[in-house]
Amino acid sequence: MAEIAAAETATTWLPRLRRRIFRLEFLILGLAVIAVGYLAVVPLLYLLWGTFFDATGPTLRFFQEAYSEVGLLNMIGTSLIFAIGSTTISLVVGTLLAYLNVRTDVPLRIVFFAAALVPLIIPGILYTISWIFLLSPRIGLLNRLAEPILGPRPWDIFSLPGMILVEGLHLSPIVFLLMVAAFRSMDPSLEESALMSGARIPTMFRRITLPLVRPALLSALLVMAVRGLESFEVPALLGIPTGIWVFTSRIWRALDDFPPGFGVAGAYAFSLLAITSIGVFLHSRMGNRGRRFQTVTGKGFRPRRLELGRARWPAAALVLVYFFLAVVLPLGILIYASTQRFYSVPSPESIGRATLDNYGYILGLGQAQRALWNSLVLGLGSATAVMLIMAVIAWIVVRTRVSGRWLLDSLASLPLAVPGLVMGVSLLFVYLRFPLPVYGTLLILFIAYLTRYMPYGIRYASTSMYQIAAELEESAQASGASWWQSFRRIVLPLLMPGLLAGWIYIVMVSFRELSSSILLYTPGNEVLSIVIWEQWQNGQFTQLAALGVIMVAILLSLVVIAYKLGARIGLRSA
Amino acid sequence: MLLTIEGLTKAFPGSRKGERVLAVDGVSLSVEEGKMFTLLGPSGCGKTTTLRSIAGLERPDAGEITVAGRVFFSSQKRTWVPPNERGLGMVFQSYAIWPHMDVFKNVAFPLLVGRKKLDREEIQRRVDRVLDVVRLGDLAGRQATDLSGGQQQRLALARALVMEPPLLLLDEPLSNLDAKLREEMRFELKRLQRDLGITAVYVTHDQSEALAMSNVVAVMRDGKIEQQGRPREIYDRPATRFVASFIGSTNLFEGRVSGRNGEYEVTTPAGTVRTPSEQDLSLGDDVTISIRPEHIGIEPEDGTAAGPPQPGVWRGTVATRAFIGEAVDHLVEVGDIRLRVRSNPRISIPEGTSVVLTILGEHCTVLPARE
Repeated sequence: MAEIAAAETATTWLPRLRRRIFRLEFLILGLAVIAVGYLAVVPLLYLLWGTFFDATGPTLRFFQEAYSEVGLLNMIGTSLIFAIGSTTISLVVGTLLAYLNVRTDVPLRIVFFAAALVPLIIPGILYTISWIFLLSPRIGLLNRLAEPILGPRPWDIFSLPGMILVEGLHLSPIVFLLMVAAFRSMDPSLEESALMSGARIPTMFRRITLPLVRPALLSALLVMAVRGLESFEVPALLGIPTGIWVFTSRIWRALDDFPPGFGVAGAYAFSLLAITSIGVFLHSRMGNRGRRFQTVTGKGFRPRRLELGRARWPAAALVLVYFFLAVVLPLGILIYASTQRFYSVPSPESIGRATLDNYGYILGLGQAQRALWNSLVLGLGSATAVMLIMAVIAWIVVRTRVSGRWLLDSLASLPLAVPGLVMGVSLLFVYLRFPLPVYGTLLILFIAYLTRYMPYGIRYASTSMYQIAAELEESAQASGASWWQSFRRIVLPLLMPGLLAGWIYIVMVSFRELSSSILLYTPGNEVLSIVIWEQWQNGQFTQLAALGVIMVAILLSLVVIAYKLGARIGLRSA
Repeated sequence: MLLTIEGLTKAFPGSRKGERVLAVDGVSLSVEEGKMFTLLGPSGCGKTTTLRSIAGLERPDAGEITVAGRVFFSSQKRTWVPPNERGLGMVFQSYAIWPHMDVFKNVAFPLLVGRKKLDREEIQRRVDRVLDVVRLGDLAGRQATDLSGGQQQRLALARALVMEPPLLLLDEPLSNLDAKLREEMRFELKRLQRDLGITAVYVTHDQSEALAMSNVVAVMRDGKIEQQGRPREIYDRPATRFVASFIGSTNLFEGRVSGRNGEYEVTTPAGTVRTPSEQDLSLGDDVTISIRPEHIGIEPEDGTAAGPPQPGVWRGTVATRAFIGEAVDHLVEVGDIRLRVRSNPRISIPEGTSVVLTILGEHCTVLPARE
């Protein structure tokens, strides 16, 4: 009997397996898993291989070369000071503004929104260039204005404090958004009971409010520190001219040599990756420990805002100063520069010479047109591909009980720890050796964007997936729908708001992308940020300002359209 | 009077631009020392806003608030004392226990941040004492988030009491507890309040809580106090339809005064009743009659021929009955009118049975007619 049963299972078993494998369901799930695994793991393997092996076998030669460079300890110290400094500025400014906005009756609350959004939209390279126009010792507007009072050339942007200031200001909106979310979800009666206990507002802030949002603060701190270490635009434009080096600028420099020092770049990239991985690892660990502090009770709060009393207008002044520094001045000087034939410090005469010639030049420039097209194709393409693949991955992670699904989640989030330049180096290692022509085409940029934005995609997709009750899908299947039918007709439409929000976010960040593109582009495949970079190197300051204004305008209208469409642009903790 | 409020008014911005919604509309009240005063009403009636105005967490638009002779707020004298200088104790609906502190630190906080500087021994002594009062003495070192709901609630109470405030404010403190615990804590709170002689203002939407715990109840609706009095008065002599239906359950009948000799006779579609009333009514006045379900007598028709209709004796048919444990509810149809009758569980009459209902005049309350 047993033999017959065994024989029977053997004959029915094979075709059943074959039928299962070729079902659409497994094809889609399988392809998504393979894509994520390939994108996340292969570049890092090649990075390891390219860094630790040369033609003769395993070697530490590249590390020796990289670390025997003069002033290397100095470089590591500078990297850390730069990251810590910019993190501190962004944390203090962002948290303070978020608290004022959410929990107090500070006037001019309308300003916050612009103050939070605009620096987020302006690409880092433009923001840095704007600040050069403002604070460069020779042509800086603020230097000129302050000279009569403070003596000649009071400030120098091309210095470590200058770099920290610009990076800190550019990062502060992210802290602002993270902390706004944290303060909003805090039960206001926790603060009110401190007031009822007789505490003064500063005491309450120090002993109740700050400890309660500590998990969010720590999380923001780690994210900002990693961002500071990854930053390329600020160190490249402000540090390199005066010999202030950090990891990212070193990597770029090693590859800019002739012949390119791939191994040395790999050694720097690997070291930087090791540091950022620690940050990302700590951050993910914290997510599990924050539970105890959960203060969200799920009740709708009608938080009464704290009355600042006499401090109300000083607080408003603080907000206005920030708004001027972070938004009005950089954007204003950029627009001014775009109207000049040759850059000079703003004066009544120079403003009188304003012209739109640069816009004509840019719009007629073949390279700029091509770059705009490339940026659009890459942005829209990578955003769509990421969100679709991540919708499938999120489904596997959230809905199924497959063992090892957590690995899928971690793989998709892995590139978060990989700085853009490191990703660029790794992809160079892969595709310079690849038999198919990927290097030298747009495809390599597409792969880079796909990989870098997977972590954002998985956050948006899985957060929305958690909000869809499993019964909705089960009832579709109970109605006779196949997996694909229920996925396409039930899950995807319900996920749409989340997917759209993630899509817009990815389009936005991909438009600003510079640090991977700068290593991977080839002539003819430039994107907008690369054109700006090249024009900066060529000294075409006013033309690049016009291109920058056009770029900011495109991004701003994208955001406005998104809001009109009703998509929530929330920033996941990334 | 320990607490007096005169003409308190507070508006909030409405959902439409420029619109103002009156949350509290000219509320005046006073609370005697050592008494438990309850603000009772449905959500949105302004009870919490009134409480928060006393606390100083809300700044009223007009009126005056005085506690123990000290003016905390006066729109006329332009007085405003911020909440952290009022020295009142408050228990929040969510308890607002600080999750990053242990039990002891939560309770000690008001003593540490206050104006008066106390030495460590004094703080230790006071915290220990108040923790004993709420029976949390042996949990002092416990992390606040490890406490059960009932313990968190007592911790919140201890923190509010540790400063020995002249006035204790309680904002729906029992609403987050499960039914069993809620009843326990009701007695516990009442005992504490009486034993310690605390003056308290209590906000709740739960009428049985209000009746059980308070010395005085004020029923609020749409930002105004509809009726104020001892629990018994409010229950037995509701002044308006709203109070009658909000406190307990009741049967309401539209009727007209059809006779007055010593007592009023009121004719309703279900029948007539005779009732004494202090009100001055004239023949033909439209009124509403409220009769509580437990005040209606019910027995099966005994078969004897029905005489002429008598005031207070109505005939009907049982439509449904429901056994609810300590009582039986009958839904009785009298003509087109349905009324609820609650009786001793020993009386249970099958559906479809003809019954005689008896209503005593002293149990009827004459209310103004429907607005």
